[in-house]
Amino acid sequence: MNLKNIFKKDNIMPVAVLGIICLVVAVLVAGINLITRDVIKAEEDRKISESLSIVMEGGEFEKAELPSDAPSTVTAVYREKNGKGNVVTLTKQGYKAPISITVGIDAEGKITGAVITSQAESHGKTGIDSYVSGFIGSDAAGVESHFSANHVTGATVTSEKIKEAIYDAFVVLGLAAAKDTPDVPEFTPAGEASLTESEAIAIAKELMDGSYTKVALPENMPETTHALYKRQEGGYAIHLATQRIKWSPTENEAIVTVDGLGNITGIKMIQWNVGYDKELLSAAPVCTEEYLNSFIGKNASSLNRVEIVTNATLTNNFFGEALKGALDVLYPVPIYSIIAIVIIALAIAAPVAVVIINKVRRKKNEAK
Amino acid sequence: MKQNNKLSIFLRGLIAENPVLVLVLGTCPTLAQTGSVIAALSMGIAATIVLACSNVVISALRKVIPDTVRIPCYIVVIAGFVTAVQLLMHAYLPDLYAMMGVYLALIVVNCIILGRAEMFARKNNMLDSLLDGLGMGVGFLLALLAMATIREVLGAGTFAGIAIPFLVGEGYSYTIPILTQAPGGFLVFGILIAIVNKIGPKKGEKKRKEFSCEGCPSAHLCGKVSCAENTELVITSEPEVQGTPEGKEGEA
Repeated sequence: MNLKNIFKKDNIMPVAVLGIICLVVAVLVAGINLITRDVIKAEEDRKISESLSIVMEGGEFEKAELPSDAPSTVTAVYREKNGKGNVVTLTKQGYKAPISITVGIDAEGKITGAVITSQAESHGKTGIDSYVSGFIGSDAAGVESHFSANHVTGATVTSEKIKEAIYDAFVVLGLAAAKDTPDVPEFTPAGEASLTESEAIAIAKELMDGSYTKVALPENMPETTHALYKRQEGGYAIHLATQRIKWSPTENEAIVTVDGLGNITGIKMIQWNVGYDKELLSAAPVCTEEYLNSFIGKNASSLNRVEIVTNATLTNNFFGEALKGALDVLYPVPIYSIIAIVIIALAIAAPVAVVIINKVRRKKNEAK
Repeated sequence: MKQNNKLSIFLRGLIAENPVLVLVLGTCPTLAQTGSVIAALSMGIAATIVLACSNVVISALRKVIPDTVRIPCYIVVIAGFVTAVQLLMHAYLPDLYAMMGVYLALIVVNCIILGRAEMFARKNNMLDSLLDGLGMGVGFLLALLAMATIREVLGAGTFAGIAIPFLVGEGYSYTIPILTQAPGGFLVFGILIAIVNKIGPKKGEKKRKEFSCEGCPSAHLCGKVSCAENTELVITSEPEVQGTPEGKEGEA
């Protein structure tokens, strides 16, 4: 009886009305989408075919087959029948919505024209069009070094995405090397580490006092973890050692101590060879107290890729990814996450419970 | 008499309660879309259609929509109309659609539309709501056009994309380019608001009286006779202001 009262008209009506309105609006919008879908598709196709002649004047085009390793941004490649060059159509996710670009590249590998065929960015068509036309005459190296941030004011993301997409046009035509090949691993485990077991334990004790004993690595532990030392009082000392194989081979090694709750308590960088980035990083706060301290107190869930060293994401990745990989294995569900989930669940359940209990109580009183 | 009322509902949005220049609503699209007259016209028309349609639907549903969920209901209705306009423009006016970019979708969160739904449509019948929506929409459109005309003509030397011969031509250009940029938008917006405030309903002066010493419970403790004189007020209940001219007492 009481439960029935909870579902009375006053409680159900608002939800029902909102639900019905949502349903009706959704049906109407779906209907309009059905009517306009083909028109929009035809319009987009027309724009693309028009854009081919805009980016390469007087050309006659035939669609070429896409190579299997083409960047995901490339939607089609058209070859000019008289050997003037190629036109590539690309779609890249912009700041708000996908941006479609058509780029013409002549036989000498220079851009003959570039136009945006569809976009929905916040700074309108004019700014983007003038930015894109700035690439005309550039080759792959010119596009790579193009300074994009200032061209579309306040729209760094859009500028960068357009630049990356135009670069991909060179990649698909074999005129430039792909920027990022995800199947190549960034790091490989270092065969040997410079520290012995006793040296590693001594460093661990400096970072967090306690008695450490070497334990076997768990089966699913990433290979970037060289050794693991269990602290009797709770926690671990993790010996990370990797060799970076991407960009330039370098070795990196560090000892990290973690308390029983999974929070990082200390870090000591043993080796930090940055390869050809050395010059760039010499001015950046790599391995400084400030940089290393940014990890202290973090745990597996709060430790995300740290990009403190500007333009040196890869170098940082050694540390961020290797450490996160180890912590994920040692502390699969951080205790703070459980506490947070319980608090959130209580925060949701408590008001609902109070409302239900009050209603039941009120009904009982009324009945009395 | 009734017709006069209907007309006044429509005319109110044009100047007296112009949503942009008097109520200062919908500032984001106003600043963003007034770089060119064509963009301003498109935004104005799209917003007017959404405003009028959503006002009518919300007015029609005003007795059905429970008070507790009225805002989500309004948002759903407005979002539905905006999506419909967006799809139709994408299909049949693709150039305008591309020109408007993200601002077309942002009509959903335009304060004018939600504001009129809450302030007018939910309390009035469908015809009045339609007139209010059209009036406010046209007011919005006119304000956008005024701003866009100033910015495009003086900033780019063109009107709706057509070059004005004595402003721009071969070898000469008498334009103020900053007006086409964001700072220029703010400048023109500020100047237009100032002009409308000067010739319009004198909102500023009214406010000054509202916030004067009149009605202040601590006025007798203040003792500022000059203040009372300046604001043409007389506080009769206190001996400190006995020196106030009699004439003013009479006014009070």
